[in-house]
Amino acid sequence: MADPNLHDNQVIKDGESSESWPAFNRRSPNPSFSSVDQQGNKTKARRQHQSRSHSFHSTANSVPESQGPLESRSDLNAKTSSKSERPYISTSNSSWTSESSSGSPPDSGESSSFSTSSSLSSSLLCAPEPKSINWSNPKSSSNISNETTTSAGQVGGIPSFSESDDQGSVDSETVSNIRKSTSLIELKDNFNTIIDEDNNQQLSNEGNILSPGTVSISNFPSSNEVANGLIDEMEQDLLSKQHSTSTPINKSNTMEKELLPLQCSSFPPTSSEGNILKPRVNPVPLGPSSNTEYESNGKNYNIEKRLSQLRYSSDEKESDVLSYASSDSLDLNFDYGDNAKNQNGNGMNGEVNGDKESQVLDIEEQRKPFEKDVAVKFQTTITTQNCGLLKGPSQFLKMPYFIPVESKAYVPETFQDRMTKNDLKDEQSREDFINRLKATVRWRENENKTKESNAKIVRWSDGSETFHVGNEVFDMMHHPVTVNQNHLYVRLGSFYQPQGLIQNKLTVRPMLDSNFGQSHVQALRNRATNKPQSGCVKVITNMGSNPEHDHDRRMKEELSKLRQEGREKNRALMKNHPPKRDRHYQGSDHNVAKNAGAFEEDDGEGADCETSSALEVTNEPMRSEEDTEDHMDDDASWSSPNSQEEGKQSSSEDDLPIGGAIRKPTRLVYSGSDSD
Amino acid sequence: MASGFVNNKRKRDEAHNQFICPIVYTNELPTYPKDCKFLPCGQNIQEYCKEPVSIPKLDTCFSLNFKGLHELFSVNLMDQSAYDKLSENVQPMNPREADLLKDIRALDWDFARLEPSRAQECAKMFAKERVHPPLPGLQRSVAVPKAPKDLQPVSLEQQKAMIDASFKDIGKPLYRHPTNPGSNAYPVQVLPVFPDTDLQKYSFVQMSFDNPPQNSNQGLIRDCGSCLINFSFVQDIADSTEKVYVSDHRYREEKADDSLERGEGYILREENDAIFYVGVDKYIKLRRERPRPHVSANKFLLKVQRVGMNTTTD
Repeated sequence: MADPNLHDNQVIKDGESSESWPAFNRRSPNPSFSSVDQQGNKTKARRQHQSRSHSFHSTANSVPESQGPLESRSDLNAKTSSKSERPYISTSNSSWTSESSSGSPPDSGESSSFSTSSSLSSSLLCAPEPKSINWSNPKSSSNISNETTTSAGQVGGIPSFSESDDQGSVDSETVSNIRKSTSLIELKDNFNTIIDEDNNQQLSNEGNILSPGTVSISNFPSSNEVANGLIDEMEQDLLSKQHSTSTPINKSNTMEKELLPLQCSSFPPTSSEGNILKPRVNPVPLGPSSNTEYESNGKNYNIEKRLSQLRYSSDEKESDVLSYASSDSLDLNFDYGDNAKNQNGNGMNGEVNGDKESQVLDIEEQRKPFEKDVAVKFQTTITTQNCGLLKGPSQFLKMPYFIPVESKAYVPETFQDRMTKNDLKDEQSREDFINRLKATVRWRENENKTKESNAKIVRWSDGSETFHVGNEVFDMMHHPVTVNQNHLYVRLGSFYQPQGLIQNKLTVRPMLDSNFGQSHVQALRNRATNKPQSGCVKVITNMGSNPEHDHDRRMKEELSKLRQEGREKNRALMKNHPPKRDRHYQGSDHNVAKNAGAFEEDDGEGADCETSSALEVTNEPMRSEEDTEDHMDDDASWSSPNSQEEGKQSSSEDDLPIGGAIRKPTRLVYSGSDSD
Repeated sequence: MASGFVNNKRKRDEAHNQFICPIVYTNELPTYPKDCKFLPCGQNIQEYCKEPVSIPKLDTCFSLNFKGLHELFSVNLMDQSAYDKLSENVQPMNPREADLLKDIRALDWDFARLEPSRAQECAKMFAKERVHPPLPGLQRSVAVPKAPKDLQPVSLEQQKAMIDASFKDIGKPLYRHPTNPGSNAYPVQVLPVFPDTDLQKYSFVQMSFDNPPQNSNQGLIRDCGSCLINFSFVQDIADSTEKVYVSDHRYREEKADDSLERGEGYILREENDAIFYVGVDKYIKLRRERPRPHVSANKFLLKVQRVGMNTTTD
């Protein structure tokens, strides 16, 4: 039983070694190293180791440059170092993934081999820094599988150790294989250490790189091509360096070289961490969370606590980062700038809204006492003196047309002739002009600059008032106004200012006894008489014939005659229509008679058939009697002596020819019975 | 002579007629006066008289036509030459009565003129404006002197003299009531009439409303062209001289009737023992518009700023 297991283990080991070697072969692009010889493999391994050391040297060379005065160069170098480190990360990942894929069907033997390799590596190299190993282990899935395998080994530790001892003591080939495996293990250990350190950095770098890388890959696929081009160039450079450094290497030199990259690596991480710490926080808590689910150690709990603390801090830092990054990154600046603009815009909108609100408030305040129905607003200025112009009581005088009023002062020197041609038409118009000239209300200034008027109002003791103009006297009548429909206004542009209500009216009436009154009355009379007459009654005394009036009468008479003629014609036509109606009536009677005849025929036919059937059914000897009766009747009709009866019958037959038709079918029926 | 004519045939018949009363009445006329005049009588009178008196000599001299009513009262049928010329003793008629009687037409016994001719009838029918023909005067037109056609114009000097006379006449004292001479009233107050120079610069308007606005003393009316809007006072704006008005009613202007008797309107104001007048320039008749839904919904706001003098209004 043990033998097949061993053979299987051997086969597996061989397979593993073959798998591992092709990997190295795959990594090397030169065809000269594609040989399968062991020596070639060894040389390949050494060369790979040298190449790795060269890579570290290159990083060491870059670090002093970064230590120079310019920080930007250090950042660029860090980026370049990160770029240079990418292919190793990818290769290691690919190798571990291949191993895990190969390990998917493994048995306990495979797990034991992995456990031995891991234990050796840990015992040899990782003893001085166990924390780092522990910290780095949970990050990778392969480490997780190793740990699980170790736990399984610890559970069944005895058989695994016994198996390995047996194999070592038994064969020399196995020993050589073990040595080879140890050499491989060393390489792996170195690789692991480098990987671990690199992983510490690289993983952190991965954290930095992967996120932007993924973003860049997803957003810009051309960047992959650029990266591939860079990788090829780096490999070519490394190969050239390898050729240049073909001399043998001492252990001390190798140790120093190994230490230098570590020392060099210590600086860039700090600077890189200082620069990249903030974004590190984002991806870190995700991985440990998945690990914590599977792990149950106290250290893991501590890690969880730290992670939890980091999470909280990361949250805060994220907010801080976002706040800080807003000032740095263009995208974020753009975004936050947009937000800022939006905020500023909101502020502006707020201000505008505030102004509008204030305006609205003003408007509302203005409109509050009124209703919202106010559509138009007017604004104007009016002088205060326009109010209450008429001080005290006032009266409204209706001056007649025959008493003109001259508001301007009378100055004899500037007075002009007022007579016109119309005033000389006749004597009456001339007198009117003279009266108007005398009765005009005027005023003038005296030599002493005092005003004189040719008109006055006199109040008498009996309460009456008289209006005097020159030598003419007029009665003044007061008419109190009871209706408040008449108002006085003052026009101010397009506005009318109220001045009061007209409550008292005055009228002036001339005296009929005076000359003015007489002339006035005469003038009124003349106007009345000369007014064009309208609506008067005209009396026609001549009742004789008038062709014009007769024309209308004759027209009417002719029209009436025509109407009568039309009526007569219509009557004549109506008289002609009755015969047609009689004919129609006769026709209808005829139809009715026909219908009656039809009914009679039908009845007759039915009766005859019934009677004939009855006769046939009842008795045969009666037929002879009936036949004889029929014949007798016929004979009697032919032998009747009364001419009148014959005439009536003939007339009836002539008038009703249908009767003859009725009898014919009966005869036919009888003739049938005779034949029977 | 009249008694000499005896109808013998009738007497014979009457003697035989038993129905005729034998009693005879006689009416003796008084003796003729010295200036006796006889009135003519027509044919109809003779038919109704038993024994009419007829003077063949005089009957042929009289004419049955009269020329006027005034001739009825002094008729001399014996001598008609006196009527060919006017008499100096004729008294003139009272002018008032003459005016009243001017339209009366004299009677005319010419029956032929009762039926106007066809031409006259047509003229009356189609005349647009009736023009009274010149009526014959009570006196003959030949005797009436015609007025001169050329009227003398009143010169400028005469006009000035008349005006100056009016100023002198107004200063005459008054002793009795001019319109009521019988009363014992005496003048209590004499007020000269002057124009109000302070208010002449304003344009007064008389408005007649069918439905007057309320609180018209505090409102304003604005002429908006098609209509006039009344703004009623609402409130004063604090800490300012502005006042706020709101539109109330709308009015539409109607055409006022033009009449000669309307004349001009004047506002009389008594002050310092004198009466001052201001002319009313315009008379406006306004009719209130019926409020419409879409119009009544919209109101107008008017803000008025009261300012002092020496400022122009909009």
